[in-house]
Amino acid sequence: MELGHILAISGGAIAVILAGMGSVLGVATAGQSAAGVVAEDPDKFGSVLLLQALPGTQGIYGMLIAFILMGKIGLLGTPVALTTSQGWQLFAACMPIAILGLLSAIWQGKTASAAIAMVGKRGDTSGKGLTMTVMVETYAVLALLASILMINGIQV
Amino acid sequence: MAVIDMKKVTLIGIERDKEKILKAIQSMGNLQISGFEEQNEEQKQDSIPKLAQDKESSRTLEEIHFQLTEVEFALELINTYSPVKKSMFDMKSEVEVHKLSAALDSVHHILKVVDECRKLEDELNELSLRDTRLINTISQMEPWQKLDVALDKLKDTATSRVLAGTVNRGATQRFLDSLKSLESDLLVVNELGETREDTCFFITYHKSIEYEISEVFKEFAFSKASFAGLEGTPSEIIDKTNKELNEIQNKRSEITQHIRGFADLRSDLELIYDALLIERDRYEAIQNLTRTDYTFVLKGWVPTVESHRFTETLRSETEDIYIKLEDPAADEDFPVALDNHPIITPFEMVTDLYSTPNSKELDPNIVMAPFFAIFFGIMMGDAAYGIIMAIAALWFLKKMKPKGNTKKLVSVIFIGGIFTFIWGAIFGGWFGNAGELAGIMPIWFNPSEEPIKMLIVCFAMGVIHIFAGMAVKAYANIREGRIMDAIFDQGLWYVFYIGLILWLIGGMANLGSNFVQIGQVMSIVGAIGLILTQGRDKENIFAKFFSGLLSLYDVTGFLSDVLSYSRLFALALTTGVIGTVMNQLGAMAGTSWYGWILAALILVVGHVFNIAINVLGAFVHTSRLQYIEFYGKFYEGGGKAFNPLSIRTKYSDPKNK
Repeated sequence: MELGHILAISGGAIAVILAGMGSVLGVATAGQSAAGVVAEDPDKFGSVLLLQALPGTQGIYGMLIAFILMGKIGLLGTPVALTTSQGWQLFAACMPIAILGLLSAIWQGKTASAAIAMVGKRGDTSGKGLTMTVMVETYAVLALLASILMINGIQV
Repeated sequence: MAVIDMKKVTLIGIERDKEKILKAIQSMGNLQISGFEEQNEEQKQDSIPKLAQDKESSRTLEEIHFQLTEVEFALELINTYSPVKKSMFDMKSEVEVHKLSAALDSVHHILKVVDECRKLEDELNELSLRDTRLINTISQMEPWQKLDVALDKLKDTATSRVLAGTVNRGATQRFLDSLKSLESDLLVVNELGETREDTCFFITYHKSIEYEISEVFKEFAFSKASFAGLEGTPSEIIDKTNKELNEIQNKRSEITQHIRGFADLRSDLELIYDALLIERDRYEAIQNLTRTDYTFVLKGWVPTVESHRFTETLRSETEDIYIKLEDPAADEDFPVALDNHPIITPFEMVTDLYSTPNSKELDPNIVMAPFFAIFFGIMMGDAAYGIIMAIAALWFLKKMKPKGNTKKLVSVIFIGGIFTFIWGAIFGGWFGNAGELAGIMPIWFNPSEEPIKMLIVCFAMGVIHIFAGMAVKAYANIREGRIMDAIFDQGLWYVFYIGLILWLIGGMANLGSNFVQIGQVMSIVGAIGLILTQGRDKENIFAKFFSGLLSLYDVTGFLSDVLSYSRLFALALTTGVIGTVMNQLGAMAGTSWYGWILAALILVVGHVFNIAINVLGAFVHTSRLQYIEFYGKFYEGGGKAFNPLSIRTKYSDPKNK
């Protein structure tokens, strides 16, 4: 296998791993707060679960990029020849979602956790908590878009 | 139009009619009673003699609260020992209102049952306490089982010592060896059994070797066991205890049987519970009334459309009543109820999650709803998913007849499903790439092949959305007579932004110099206008100029608002790509017969997962676009939702005849 392929696949793998790690940590942080709130008031399970699920999307974004990359380099069908330079380009294109996915999911988890605590105290604030938590995700969405556009734009 | 007008109600009635009147109000369900503090505040102006809060009702209220907890306790106990299988799709049973109030007659009978339940629970608790004690005894006796001497007979004789005790398990062999090394005939040692840490011994020796023995005991930390209060040999004790345990077990099943016998009363208990809830709500309302010795005063809000029915109904109940209806003062806040077209109504839920509109502003739902549906549709962006969502939501609505916010949410998903179908067809998404494989062409274009075009579409939608928000603000300004504000704060920004956009697009797309020039002129005129007007409430001329200049900085806010709409594209891609991935996974499962089954399984589970995760994503991100980018332009919120005294229950679904 050419170095180009190795680099491209590494990029995709790192995107899945880092963004996934971020989501694991984020969902776990939020989940711990959620368990506390539900212990007090099981009726809040629904709104609290929604908040807990939010930091989970970054992991999906990472996987998304990996799949788009696989399609690009023909890993699922007939492989496309890649130069080392193209490999590096694809590697770099994966970095926005990898790094921002990691960071935004962790911090979104913390925000979600705080929002869950807020819902625990005042049940009618779940909409506001949801909005605050989604604000953090914006930057993961932007990174996802940047990664997609870059991979799309690289000529192979 | 959409925020319902309210009338302020002042009602004076005779104390003895109070129950009757409040019952009538509760079953009409159209009056919100103001809090006592709020009512009292006005008293000063009304020059009514100082009135006291109704104390008597607070006793009744306490009693009702007590009864509620009692009934709840009984229900919980019965449900623990005789659980009912309830699916989440179970519907509440319909009960006529008069049946509910009739249920209250049997409250004392029911409370007796509850008392019995309490007693049975106490007994159960006591039994489990005894249970643990007995189990302890057994585990204590087990290592001594080989001892065939009654424990209460374990006493020294005149010449010899008789004792039972333990030594650490690790030291057992050395302990026995040391005793053997005494080489005495005056000693009998029996090894009996082992606990987790110790070995148990039964030892008899003549008092003449007391000293030597005690030296050995000391060396190995032999500890004497005490069996205070126990009679008979260990095996006898174990047998006896086991028998007792059996008895307890029998007794327990007897009691639980007894509790299960109450299961027939479950529906009665639930009925009573609901009836008590209604009573509680009414008495809590009474707490807010003011009273004299013979009369009471009630203040509250009634929707203007309901006010006629309200007064007529109450006048038909009693003649001795005074009702005054007033319009709220110009600066007075009143509780907010919304009245929208049935298609718009579900979207009220989205706004309520953010903040209820206040009584002075326009209801934003009618403008927000179409944008919500469109953006939701783009983010989901899969025609097949849209059909599935719409059908599932419709089925749920017809079958389960949900109420309140659940109904609204499911309706939003239904409408969202229709828009998802439309946008999916436009952009060619059918189960991910399945439509593409089957040769279904997108009506417009495929976003993943022309991402820049898609981005521009998204930004254009964003601009329209933001301009709509500004338009609402302008309308509100005009409605309140601030026409200048509308021209300066919205009109000039329109000119400026549109100018910038024309300039930019004209330059990029080579639309000719005329196009660019118009843009340039508009943006410069707009900018100058803004510099001149945005500081108009400042005192001196320099402050006016600088705040005008600074206001141009808001253009960055506009830019980031517009860029935020790129999430429409990102989320649309997410749906499409995950769907495609599921199809590929399915295709990998192979072509043998079990491969087909596996593929079908992967496809069903995968696509359902994709729908679920993306409905969540589309909902929260669409909401965000409404809350931050759209409502940020005009919406105030902070209203109090209209919350009338009405019949609300937990278990049954009350209906008036």
